[in-house]
Amino acid sequence: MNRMRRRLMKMFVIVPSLLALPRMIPTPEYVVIDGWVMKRSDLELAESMRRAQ
Amino acid sequence: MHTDLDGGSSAIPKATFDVCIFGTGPAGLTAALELAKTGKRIALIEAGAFEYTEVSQKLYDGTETGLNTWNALSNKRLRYFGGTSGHWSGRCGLFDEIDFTADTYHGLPGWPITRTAVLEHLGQAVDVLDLGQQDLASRPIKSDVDSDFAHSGVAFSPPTRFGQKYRQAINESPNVHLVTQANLVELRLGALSGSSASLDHAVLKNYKGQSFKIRARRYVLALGAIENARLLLNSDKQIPGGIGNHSGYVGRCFMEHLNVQIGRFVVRDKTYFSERQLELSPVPDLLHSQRIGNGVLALDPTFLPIDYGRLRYLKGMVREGVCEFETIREYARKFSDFNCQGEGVISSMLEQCPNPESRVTLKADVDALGLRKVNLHWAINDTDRRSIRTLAMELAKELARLDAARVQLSDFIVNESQPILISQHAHHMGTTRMSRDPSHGVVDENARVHGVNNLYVGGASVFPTGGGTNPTLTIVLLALRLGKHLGQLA
Repeated sequence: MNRMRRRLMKMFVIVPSLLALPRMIPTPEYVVIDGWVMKRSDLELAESMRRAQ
Repeated sequence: MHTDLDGGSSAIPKATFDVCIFGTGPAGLTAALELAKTGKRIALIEAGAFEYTEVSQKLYDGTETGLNTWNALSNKRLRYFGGTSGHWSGRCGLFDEIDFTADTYHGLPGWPITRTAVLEHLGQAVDVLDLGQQDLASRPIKSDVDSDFAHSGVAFSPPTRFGQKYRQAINESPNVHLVTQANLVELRLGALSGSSASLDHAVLKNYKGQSFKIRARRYVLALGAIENARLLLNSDKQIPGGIGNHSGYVGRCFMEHLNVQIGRFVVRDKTYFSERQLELSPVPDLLHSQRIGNGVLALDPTFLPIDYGRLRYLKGMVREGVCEFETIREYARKFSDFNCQGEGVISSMLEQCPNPESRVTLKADVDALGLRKVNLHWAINDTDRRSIRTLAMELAKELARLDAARVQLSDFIVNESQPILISQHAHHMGTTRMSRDPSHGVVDENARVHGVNNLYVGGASVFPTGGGTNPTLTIVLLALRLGKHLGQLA
């Protein structure tokens, strides 16, 4: 019974919480890379362009 | 009337003047012409001649320590009729309302007078500086955009060379007696009574070493921020430490406008760059919230072909070729200020906070006339460093937010362990700061030296803070205010 409860806890509480954690921590709107001050969306755009290539 | 003091002693007027003004730069000439309208008898004293001479300029020599001022003492000032207006650029701006708020970000008292009081004679100052109908007001970065930065209010004088423009008016004024080649070497007090004193006379010397006395009911020092402090400190025979130096502030709080290349930028939206150079200033809300100093940040993008001469096409092709390859481009930037189309550097003119450790002091050695020379120690503090870095970062973020440009900040902005590379703008301010409280300054709200009944100071040395714009317009505004004030006194 206890083993089943731990398994359910892990499946429905712990793992989803860990997965959601990065979204819950506020991320800075701007990033500085090599002195360039960029919007976070700049990085996402650059990443999608890199994948497209 | 004009007297050249190298001509001999018989020419020096023996009569007592109403006001004696030392210095013929923008402050001295403006105050003299304003006072002349009131019928007061004025002695206007200039150390140099009508033209530049080496022998006069040499008397500015001294030493410099601290930040590199690139010869602030000898190259950035002019010692002849018209003063430093003989080589100024003509850029003018108004101090902002926030520059006059009592709650300062640096801990020392700010201006004891309001912006309204300073701007009272703006129309007249605009005429003095030939600014015409130019708009001095700041305006939004774009009409429909809310931003932390706005276009700086700026106007350009031709520039007015005060020595050329106002020489005839001085010569023709029946109330002004101009004395040239007359070096002020000492201020002498009369009998001291309690905590206040009065100047009895001033001692002048010509270039032959002859001494002369001149007397007036009131005196105005308008020799520039470094020399104003130097003369007060040198006049220490009757009061140890010099006249007006009860608080120890004479010579202290020397301020410049900080010239920092905060980084490079690439244009994203050309509509923000409709004028050739984009000059931005932080809005008051940003200054309040971050508790930083004011300033102007200038972005000058390369849009047009910048090569010239018979080889311009070849040069243009080489430039375009270099711009295609990042490695070569970065290599080129190590050797020159190399920009591709739509790129540029961000220069700045930033407020330096009043810092008592940034100061003019006297040395032991004397000049050819026996006046002790100065040492200029220009220093910034942690508040300035924080101001520079915060303003640079806020600008970079704002330009990214608006999608106007992307900014690459200089290494010394991002990395706080690196010293910030700072140059100057040849704006010397603050060495006889204005303060209502005598313990925090040298002159009162009317520019009268605390504790001396009849001695006043003109020029940027009275600025308690330097603001984020060029000082000349404010120097002229304060000179008009001083001239009118002295004209009203009996």
